[in-house]
Parts: sequence; structure tokens; C-alpha cells
Amino acid sequence: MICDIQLISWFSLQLSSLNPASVSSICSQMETTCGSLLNELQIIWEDVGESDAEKDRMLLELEKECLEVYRRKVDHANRNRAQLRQAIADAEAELAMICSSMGERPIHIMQTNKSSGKLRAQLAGILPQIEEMRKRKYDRRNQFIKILEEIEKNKYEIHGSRAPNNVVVDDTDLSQRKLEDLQKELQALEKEKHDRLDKVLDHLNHLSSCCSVLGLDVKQIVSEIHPNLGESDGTKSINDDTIEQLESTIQRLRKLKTQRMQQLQDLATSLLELWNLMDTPAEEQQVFQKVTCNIAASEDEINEPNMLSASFIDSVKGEVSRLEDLKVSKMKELVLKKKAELENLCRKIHITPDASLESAIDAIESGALRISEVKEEALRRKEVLEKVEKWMAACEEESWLEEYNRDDNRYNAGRGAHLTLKRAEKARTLISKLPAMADALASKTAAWENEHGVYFIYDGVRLLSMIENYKLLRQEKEQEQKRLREQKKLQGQLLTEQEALYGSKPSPMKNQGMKKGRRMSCGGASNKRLSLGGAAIHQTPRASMTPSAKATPSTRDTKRNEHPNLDMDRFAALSTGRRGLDLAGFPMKQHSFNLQNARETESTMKRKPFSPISSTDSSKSNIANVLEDMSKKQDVLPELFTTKNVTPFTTPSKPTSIAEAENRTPQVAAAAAASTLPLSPAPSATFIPMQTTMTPLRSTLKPIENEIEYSFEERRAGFILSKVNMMQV
Amino acid sequence: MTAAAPPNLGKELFSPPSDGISNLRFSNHSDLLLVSSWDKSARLYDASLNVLKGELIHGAPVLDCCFHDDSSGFSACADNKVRRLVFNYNREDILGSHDAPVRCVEYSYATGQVITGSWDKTLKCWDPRGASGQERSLVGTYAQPERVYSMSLSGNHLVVATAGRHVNIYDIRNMSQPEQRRESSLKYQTRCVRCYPNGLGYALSSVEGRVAMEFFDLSEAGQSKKYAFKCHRKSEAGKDIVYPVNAIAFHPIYGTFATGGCDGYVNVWDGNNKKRLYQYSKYPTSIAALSFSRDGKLLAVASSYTYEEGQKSHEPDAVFVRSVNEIEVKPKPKVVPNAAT
Repeated sequence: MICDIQLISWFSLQLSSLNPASVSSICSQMETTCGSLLNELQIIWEDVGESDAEKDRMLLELEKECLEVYRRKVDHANRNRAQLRQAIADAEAELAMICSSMGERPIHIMQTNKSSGKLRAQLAGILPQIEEMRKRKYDRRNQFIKILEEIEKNKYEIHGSRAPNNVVVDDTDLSQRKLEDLQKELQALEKEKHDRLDKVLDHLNHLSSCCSVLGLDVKQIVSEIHPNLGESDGTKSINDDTIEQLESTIQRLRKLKTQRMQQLQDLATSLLELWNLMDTPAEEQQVFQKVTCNIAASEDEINEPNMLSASFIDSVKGEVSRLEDLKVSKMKELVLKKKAELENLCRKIHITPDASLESAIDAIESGALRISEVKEEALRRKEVLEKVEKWMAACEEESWLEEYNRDDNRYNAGRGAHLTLKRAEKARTLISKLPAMADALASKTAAWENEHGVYFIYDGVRLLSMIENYKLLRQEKEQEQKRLREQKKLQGQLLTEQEALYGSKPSPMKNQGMKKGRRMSCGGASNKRLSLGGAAIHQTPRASMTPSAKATPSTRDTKRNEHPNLDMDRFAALSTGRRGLDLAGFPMKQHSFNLQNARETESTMKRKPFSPISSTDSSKSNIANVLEDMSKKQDVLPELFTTKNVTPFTTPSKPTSIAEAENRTPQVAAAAAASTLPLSPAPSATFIPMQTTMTPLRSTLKPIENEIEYSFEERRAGFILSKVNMMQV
Repeated sequence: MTAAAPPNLGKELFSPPSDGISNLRFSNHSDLLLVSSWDKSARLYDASLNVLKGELIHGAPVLDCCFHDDSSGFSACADNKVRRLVFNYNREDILGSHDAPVRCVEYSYATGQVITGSWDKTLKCWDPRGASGQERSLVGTYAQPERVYSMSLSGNHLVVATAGRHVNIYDIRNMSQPEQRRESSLKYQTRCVRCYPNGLGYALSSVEGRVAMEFFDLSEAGQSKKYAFKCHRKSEAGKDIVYPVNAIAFHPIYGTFATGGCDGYVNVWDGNNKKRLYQYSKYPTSIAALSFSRDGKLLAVASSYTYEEGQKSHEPDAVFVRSVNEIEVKPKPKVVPNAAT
């Protein structure tokens, strides 16, 4: 019994926790049915005599089954709720998408706040909105399609070339703004269409007036361009192609019109002349009055229909030739009359008449013939002659420019200088085209000659030979110019070669200055003194110190004068060999300089003033000088310097020094020679060969040759490379 | 000579070295200044406070010095020894020695090694962290073609200039072989070599008043940029007096550089535009060394006779610290080509 009560209370508990509002009615009902059933069960169990354990088990089973049923129901309800939520979310999403595509704010989502209603209510609230939005979207879409179709149609009419595309509406953007944009586009297209139509009509009007003047069939011409243009009503083709063709046709007709007009005016002129000459009666003139009154008219003034038609021009032509004939026959008549008169007279006085009059008549006839022939010839020559004229003008400019370039004062600002400058500029561009021009002319002339089978004679000279001559002349001139240019380049190369040693490349403008500077740093100043005479000999040792010695700024002559004592001290010390090794270069150098000094004074005649004298540099520059003297022209290649440089002893100046040296103590001579050796700070590229040539001399020098460079610090610290170290050098 | 003296030379430091100044360097972290001298001392100054913060006396003239951190540094000494100097404990450790006076010393923050160059024609690398004792701290010895005269380190490039106008360029990550062997493009003895702060090349000065601007890039285009220019010269009556260029110092921010010569002048150059930006008024004697502070606001100038004319009486040695005006060191756009020369 305990179990029963438990079960029922469990049911009611469950129900009440689920739905407290409706619990009482359902519960009471349930209680009765469940209670009665339980009662029945208990009665059955009583009868059967079921054990308590069995009863408990069955009750538990019952409980389990009930639970199972409950669980299923709950799951189902849960699923339903989830589906409902899903449906709401889907609906909302669709709504949002439609709204965004229509460019509207999704207001309803704000309204149907999730907390405000039950799910079903929410869904019910959204569905009609969706319906409405769908409808609106559909309408909007249709609007779009309509406009887009319209646009496509217009586009097709305007551009014509491609067939109207199928309209594709972008579903993601159906906003009002897009619609307005499309409408604007459509309006623009319609306006363009309208403009084009106006243009076409305008062109058509123009065309028809032209045609009427020229006596042509408008309809035929127009329908050639586009079949629907010829029809008086209905749509007209307005695409680009049509307009273009219309325009070109108008151009063509215009050209024809001008041509015919000129023809007509020429005819009118001759007409007037003839009338004048022959006193043509007014009534006869009347017929062609409208021709002559247009003699000075411009193209657009002639718009009388058929005024320039082929038939009308032919009729005028006929009139002119009739009058010409008339003129000739009248002249003949006149001459015959005179002849008759003459013959009459002659007969009277019994003289035989001469034949001069006969020939006069012939001349009249042949003259007329000849004139037409020459006219024809002129027509044939016209094309070539135009080219010749251009060519001649260009040639003239060329010669003018040459003249102008020779004028040294051409850049002086004066009146009209800017004009000549401009002319020169133009002339230069023209001249650059000259060769091509001449070639074209030559080929044209040749073609002409081939075609007509005669030489093209220009003022009595064959044109082709004229061009040939001109070409030859030009070639000569070019070669001359090239030669000049090469000369200049060579000069430039020489300068760069000199400067390359210093690692800095000066601008051409600076060359002068750089050269000067270099000379100075090589001790050129003292050299100047030398070439003035030996007056400054006591100063000279400083100017030719070894590079390591040069390291001190006092090596420069001016500074030296400021510290004569110090220098003397040092030299004294050196020559006594105080340090033995470190600066022994100095005394040698001193001697060598003297030698050099002597030879320098001797060779002054060969040297240019200001050339540097420091050992290697001097020999180099001396060679350079000599070379320059030998060949004043610049065709000496720069390499010559380096090759000559390799063998300084063969240069004219050196032998003197050797001879001199030999007169002194052998040691000194050797030193003099050696001094040129390790001193040179020149790049080793030019240096190495020098060493090889001098090897034999060096070997004899070993004991005293130890010109090792030292830095200031090494000298101050008294640091001397040991013998061992030196061997490694 | 004080800052109030008519030519503005900058602030002169109190208690300067009593003999020639061989080098000076600003710290990378502060305005501390390390000065080495022929009076056998290495001194540490605070340049902004003008205070001598420490002094270590060696057994022989100190030829070069460099910072390790703000309280320690390294010295290259004429007694062949390489030392680590610890100023706050007034202590020195000997890292090792060369076979001849040590001319230059550099510390690489990248490898943590000390690199020294000596007149014994070698470079040596040292590990200062190694326990004392030469066999522990010596990393390697690398033969040079000649006595080492000047050395400069920038990034991984080490440029070594020696007697005989040799220039060796090393990648410090591989010291076994020089990356490039070059000959100086100047004709005379190399005085000083300094790398560009951008690590693309180096400037090299000679005893003959000339500075060459070189580039590491060996391609045609790279080499076409190199050039040399004359400086520290005096024209008198049409003759040039040429002075050695002892010192080069690059501005850390702008990449412009100052040169100091035996003429006592300090010039500031814009290497890219080939222009001289500024010339400071003449110092009493030769400029032995130059260094910009880490931010380029200060320039230390060692005005000290460099023995270029042997033993002679000369102005007292002094260190000037001048504040640098932007206008003196900021590159100016090119107006006239080749203006610097």
C-alpha cells in the first residue's frame, strides 16, 4: 500500500511541477483512474496471493514504463520548440536579407523582441511581415527589370554593335537608391539618344541639301549607310557606326562639292573672259548668269539645287568649248579676212603675197593644242614638284643653320635673338628629317621616271642626279663632323686617364682646376722655381721627399719655410744614420733630388712649365710632355703613357741623370736610381713592371735600402720593424 | 681656454690627459666618454657633467680604447697587452697580448668579442667573458699583410686598414678569410678608416689631405658610387699645404660625418650630396680624434698634437665637447653636383 501512495504522489508532484495552473483538474481525474486501476490490481494480487516482492517489482516496472512515456513526450515537445525557434530564426533571417537587399532598416526585428511574446506568437507576428516584404521585393524586382530592359534597349540603339543582353537583376541590391541610380542612367541614355537623333537628323538635312546641290539621290546614299534612314518616318538608326558613316559621307560630299565648285568657278572665269572678248549678247549670257554670279562664292554659299550637278557642269563646259571654238573660228576669219585684203592689195599692185599669214593660222591652232598639253604635264609633275619644293626649303634651312652655327656671337642676346634661336631649333629638327626626305624624293622620282619613261628634269637638270649630289655632299660633311667628334672624345679620355689615378672623376668643367691642384700636390711649385733657374736649390730637398715623409704636412714648401730648423734637424739626424733603418730614405732622396734637379734644369727645354717633378711623377709627365710634343695631335692613345712609363730609363731625360750619377759616388748613383722605386705611391698596376726592369740594380742596393713607411704613432713610439719582420714584407 | 673664449670650440673637459690623446669614444648608452692617451692613462669622463669619473694607468702609452658597457671598456696598449678596464672597481684584467704594440681595439656587441689590431701584423679576437688567462680568452689570430693602422666595425663588417695601403674587409662571423682584399684608392698612407652607419661602405682618410668614400658592394653599380675628395688643405700663394686627416666620425642619425686634420679644423660633410656642411673654428692644434655621442647631439674633439712633425713644442692636449647644432650635421639637398670637392 505504501507503494501506491508513493506512485500517485509522484505523479501529482510531477504534474504540478510541470504545469501548476491546470494541475488540479487533470490530477484529480488521473487520481481516480490511476487509483481505481491500482485498486483493481491489488484485488487481483489478493486473489492470486502474489508475494510482496513480486508486487514491488511489478510496481517498479509500472513506474518505469510511466517514466518512459513521460520522457518521450518531453522530448517531442522539446523538438517542437526547437523547430519553432528555427522557423523564427529562418523567418527573421529572410526578413533581414530582404530588407538589406531593399536597403531598408529591419524595423520589425526590433519590434518583435524575443522576450515580448511566446514563440508561436512571434512566428505569427513575423510571417505576415515576410509576406509583405516578399511582395514588395517582387514589385521592386519588376521595377528593376523594367528599367534595366529599358536601359539595355537604349544601349543597344546607341551602340548598336551588340545584341541586347538578357536582363540580370542583382538580387542582393534592390535598394531605392540603386533604383534611382538606374533611373538616372536611363534618363542619361534617353537624353543621349535624343541628342543622337538630333544629330542624325541634322546630318541628314545637311546631306540632303548637299545632294540637291550636287544633283545626287539622297535616298540612295542614305539607305546605303543604314536602310532605315531613308524612310521618312519611323525609327532612325542612331548608333555610333551610323553617325560615323554619315559624317564621313558628308565629308566626302563636301570634298566633291568643293572640287566641283572650283571646276565651275574656273569655267565661269573662262566664260567671262570669252564673253568679254567676243561681246556675247546679253540674252545668250543670261542662261549662264547664275554660274558667273557665283564666281567668288564660298562653298556654303552655293546651295541652289543642281547647281553643281554633273550634268550642269557638263553643260557649262559645253558652252565654254563652244565659245572657244567660236573664238578660234573668229580669229581665223579675221586672219582670212586680212589675208584676203592682203591678197587683194597684192593683186592690185602685182606683188606675190608671202606665206606668213598661213603660218599664223597654224600657230593659233597648234598653240591651243600645246597649252592643253603643258597643262596635262603640269598635272603629272605636280606631286613630285611639291616634294622637291619641301626638300629645297629644308636644304635652305640647313645652309642657314650652318652659317648660324659658325657665328660665335649667336648666343648674344640682341633684338630678335629668341626668334633666331627658335628658328635654329626648328631647323635642327627639320635637318634630322632631311636624309629620309631625300630618300623618299629619290624613290618617288625614280618611280615617276619608270612610269613615264622619261627623266624628270628640274630646271634643265635631272632631279635624280641633283639628289645624288646632295647625298654625297652630306656624307662628306658627316664624316668631317665625326672626325671632329672623335678628336674631342680622345681629348676627354686623356683627361680622365690622368684623373683616374686619384679615384675622383671631375666634371669636364673642373678639369682645369683639378689639373692645377694635382700639380701642386706633386711639388710642382718647386718645379716652377727650377725652371726659373737654380736659385732655390737649398729648398729643394723638401719637395721631393718620399711619400712616407710626405705624410707630414710640412713637406709642402711654404710650410717648410716656417720650420726650417726642424727640417734641418731631421735631415742632419737622418744623414748621420741615427736610426739606421727607419728614415734612411731621406738622405738618398736628397741626393736623388739633386740629380733630378740637375737633369730637370737641363731638360727644361723639353718640359712644359709647371709639370710635376716628384720622382716617378716627373718622369711620367716628362714622357707625357715629350710625347705631346712629338705628336701634337691627340691621336696618341692614353695607354701609351703607361707603357712608356714602364721604362723610365729609356726616356730622353733619364740618361742624363744616370750619367750625372755615375760621376758621383756609385752609392749615390744607385740610390738615385732606387729612389724612384719604392717611393712611388702610384697604383701597383703601373708599378710592377718598373720593379722588374730594375731588379739588377736593386740587388746591389740591399744593405741601405730600407725605406719602410711608418705612421706617426710608430715613429713616436720608436717602433722599428725587426729584420725578421722585414724579411716577411 | 674656456667656452667663453672668442672662437666657440665647445666645453673643454677638466683634468685632460697630460700627453697626446690617441683616441676617444662616446658610450653607446650614455654621455660617458672614454679617452686613451700617450700619458699611459685611460680615462672615463662624464661629458655632460664635465667630471672625470675614473682613470686607469697602464705600463705604456694607450693607443686605443673602446667601451664594453658603461662601467667597463677595453684598451690597446703599447706594452703589447690588451686589457679589460673596470672603472667602478678601478681594476684591470689582461686579456692577452700581441707581439708588438696594439694599435686598435673594437668590441663587437653582436659576437661579444673584442677584436684588436696590432703592429705585429695580426688581428686577434678575444672573448672577454672567458676566465682570466690568455689561453682561455684568445679566440683566434688572423695574419694581416702589414701593420694594422686603423680598424672600424659596423654590423658584421670589419674594415682593417694597414700600412702599405692594404684594406681587408671581414665578415666577423667568419674571420678565417677576409671577405674582400683591397688596396686603398688613395695614394698615400692610410690614417683612419670608419664604416658608414648604414653598413654599406666605409670612409678612408690618408696622410695627404684626402678622404675616399668606398662601398662594400662589388658590382659595377656599387663601385661606380665611390669617390674621393680633398680636404684639410691650405692654399697659400698658389701652393697647397696638405695636412693628414687623422679622424673621421659618422653622425649616428644623419650619416653625415666629421673629419679632423692636422690643420686643427673639424669639417662636417654630407657624403651623399658631396657637400661640406660646416667647418668649425680652428682648434689650437691637430685634431687627433673625434666622436659623436649616441644621439649625435654632442661631438667630442681631441685637440692634441699627433707627432706629425716629430718632437716639438706644441699646444697643450685638450678634449672639447661641443653641442652639435642640427643645421651643422643635417644633410642638405643637392644643389650643385661635386660641391663637396
